[in-house]
Amino acid sequence: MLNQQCAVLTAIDSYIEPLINRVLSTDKFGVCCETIKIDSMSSSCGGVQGDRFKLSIPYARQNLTWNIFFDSQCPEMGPDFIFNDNTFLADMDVDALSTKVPSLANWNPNDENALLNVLKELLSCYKQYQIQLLQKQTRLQLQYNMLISSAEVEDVEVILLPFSSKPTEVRFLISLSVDLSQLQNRTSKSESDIVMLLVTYCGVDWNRITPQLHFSKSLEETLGGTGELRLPQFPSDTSLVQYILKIKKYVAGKVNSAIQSLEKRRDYIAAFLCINHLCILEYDTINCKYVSCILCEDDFYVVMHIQLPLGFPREAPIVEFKSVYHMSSEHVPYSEKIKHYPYDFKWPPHYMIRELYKAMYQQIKIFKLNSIKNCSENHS
Amino acid sequence: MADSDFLITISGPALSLLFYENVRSTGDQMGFLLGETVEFVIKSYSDLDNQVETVKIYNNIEAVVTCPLPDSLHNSIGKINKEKLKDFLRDTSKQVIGWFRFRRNVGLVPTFRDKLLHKQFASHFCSENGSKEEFFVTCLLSSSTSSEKGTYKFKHVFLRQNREIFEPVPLRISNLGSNSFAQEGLDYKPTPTKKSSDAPDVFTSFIESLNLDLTKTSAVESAIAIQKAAEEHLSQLIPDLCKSDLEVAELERQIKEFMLNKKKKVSDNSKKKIQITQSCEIEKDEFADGRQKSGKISLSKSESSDDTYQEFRTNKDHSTAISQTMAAHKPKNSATYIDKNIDQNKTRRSSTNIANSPSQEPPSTNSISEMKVNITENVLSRNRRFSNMDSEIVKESICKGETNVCGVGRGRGKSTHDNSLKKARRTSGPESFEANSVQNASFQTSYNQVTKKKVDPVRKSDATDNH
Repeated sequence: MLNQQCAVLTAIDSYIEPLINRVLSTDKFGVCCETIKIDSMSSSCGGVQGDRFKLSIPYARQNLTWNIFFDSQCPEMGPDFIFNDNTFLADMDVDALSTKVPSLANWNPNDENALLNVLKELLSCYKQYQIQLLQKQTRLQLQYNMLISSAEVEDVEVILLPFSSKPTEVRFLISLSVDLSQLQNRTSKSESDIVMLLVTYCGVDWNRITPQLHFSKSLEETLGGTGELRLPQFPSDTSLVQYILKIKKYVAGKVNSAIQSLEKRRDYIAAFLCINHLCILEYDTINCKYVSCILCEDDFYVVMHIQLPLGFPREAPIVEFKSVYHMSSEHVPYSEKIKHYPYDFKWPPHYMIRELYKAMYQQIKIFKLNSIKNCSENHS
Repeated sequence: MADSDFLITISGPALSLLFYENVRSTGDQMGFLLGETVEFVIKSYSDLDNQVETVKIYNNIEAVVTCPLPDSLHNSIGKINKEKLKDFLRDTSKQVIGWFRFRRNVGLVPTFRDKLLHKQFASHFCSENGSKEEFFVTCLLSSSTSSEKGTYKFKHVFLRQNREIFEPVPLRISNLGSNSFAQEGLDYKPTPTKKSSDAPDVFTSFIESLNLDLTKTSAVESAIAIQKAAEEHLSQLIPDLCKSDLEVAELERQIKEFMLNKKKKVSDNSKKKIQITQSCEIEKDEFADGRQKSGKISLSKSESSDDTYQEFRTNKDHSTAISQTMAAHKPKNSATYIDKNIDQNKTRRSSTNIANSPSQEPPSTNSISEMKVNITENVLSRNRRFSNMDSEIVKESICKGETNVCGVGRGRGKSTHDNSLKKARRTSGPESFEANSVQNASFQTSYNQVTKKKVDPVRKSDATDNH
């Protein structure tokens, strides 16, 4: 809604700054635990200090764009809003709204949390509004009621799309309560770890259902990306609650295999340290994802970098040679991936390493020739 | 049926007053639209000899009142303070037919608070003047300048709430010259109407005191006689008006200063959380007192303002006539783009002022300096404000001999809407001038010269816009 022609400002009016900073620094907002972002800023009186903001607020993996209007002329006055969904709060009684959004009705500009509280209250109003809209869709309404009455979920965000017309798509973003305590070596961020299931209903009679699983960032590192996940089927005659149970089992399996894989990787690295403790350069102590060491053959030195995939030991380690003498381009050492070496996932770790080493001394000679050749080609 | 026949009419001077007030404000602005809701029943006969009655409802805007401190009228969520609203509007609250909100550089979309305010204002004012809530309007205004500051853009839209949805209402700018809508009685050609107050207005008393015999004296002579009487009356009232307006300006300046100090305190002590609320209360009370005082002054001086209207009107007539031709092409457009270069000097001045104020403190000096500059302008604006309230009276009183023009098909207060649309007629300021017949009134006061300066660019820009 803000005029695009308006110059983009960087300074925030000083009395609003603490309020906005508080909002932007809050890292948990809604189910998906994302942050609110500021899109653009302008000034109501053509000044250099902004008092109008466009915020994108995460909700059900959509971004709600809310325009926030402060008035630098009236610092006592709380913010005003334009919601991107113009049917939201279109016809409300002011007294009813005052009880729902008390932080705005009793606006206190000296409270740093004032704006954050107002946004939270408005977002919960928005959620209620979406649930209210869902009443018209009896089938989904039933699913929703079953969902919230079951103990399987922590929180649900519902959104009907598109805004302000007959909905063609309904999204449920469900925060799943999954036991992640077995995952070891997690950093402090683990508190905000979350498993979310996004279920999109569309089509005639809401028959087309698309489930998507999302992990929070730090969890994604441990469990692997969600892109390759093969989610169980969601037949349209099963209820959402049943499906969620399936998904939870699936995630639990995923967590288990991650735990086992971590143990295996740790064993592998431990064995590696035992055998080659003199030539180790570095290794990953937390997630046990890589180890690198230095090898020597005929006075030719080479760095061997072994990456252990999350699917280890079923997936073979990725071995890469990095030259200590030659560059392939500026700041990038010449490197080569070693694809063929003896490997079997049933072998014990120390046997794997020994077999690898045997093969590697052959590979170094090839690598030496290749790197010299490559280098001389580059220079000629 | 009535839905399609609902529109807003406004006279050129009233609209330019609205824009003028917008441009004068540093930031956002809100205020009220004064006027009346009029209902016409038009009877026509079809080929089948059936009598068809069409009802047209017009909201005629005659004046605007800006609200210098909106935070005193409603709280942050938009709950209105009815007591303060009554204090602020006083007698004029019966004439409120809508309200407006001006914001710079935004689209014309009602905000969350605007919607809440509309609802409350509608129920508040409609219960006072007995009109229907669905005819209460919100006017959203916006202005922006191009990046090179070469083009000034003014946008506006009138909205009313129909069930849950805000729908645009077409605006028609009444034109002095056009007679085509005369039977609807809402252009400059005045129509006789029954007024709720029987007290004669200024204009009527003038005409009576002059004892003009229109059959014997020529039109020019009678016009000149009226003009002279008007001039005399004006020159008597100008000093009083000037004094009261200076006082108002001074009070407004003080309030702004308080506000800026408070803002500074808020931002400085936001971490310490010092209880400023008490001082705020005091300031607000002071403000309320000041405003009441100024209100009293203005009201008591409303007579004088009536007269200055004369001056404003005569100057404006030409320019609005021109601008009307432009607007008349698209009377059904609900949002009209008007690119004007009016008040460029002023806008530039204010924008440069702002540009020169990088931090908190300068705005205070800025606002003061601007107030100083604006003092004379203030006088004028106030004149306009009050004077516009009388435009309706003017047209009514003149037309005593013109009943024919609007005879057929006109009817007021149709039985179904009799009460609801009963006119909220002015009870104050029952004086007015004949403006139409007075042309080229040249007053020897400095105020007039200022006005002319202000108007001339409008005229020019309007003329160029017509091409």
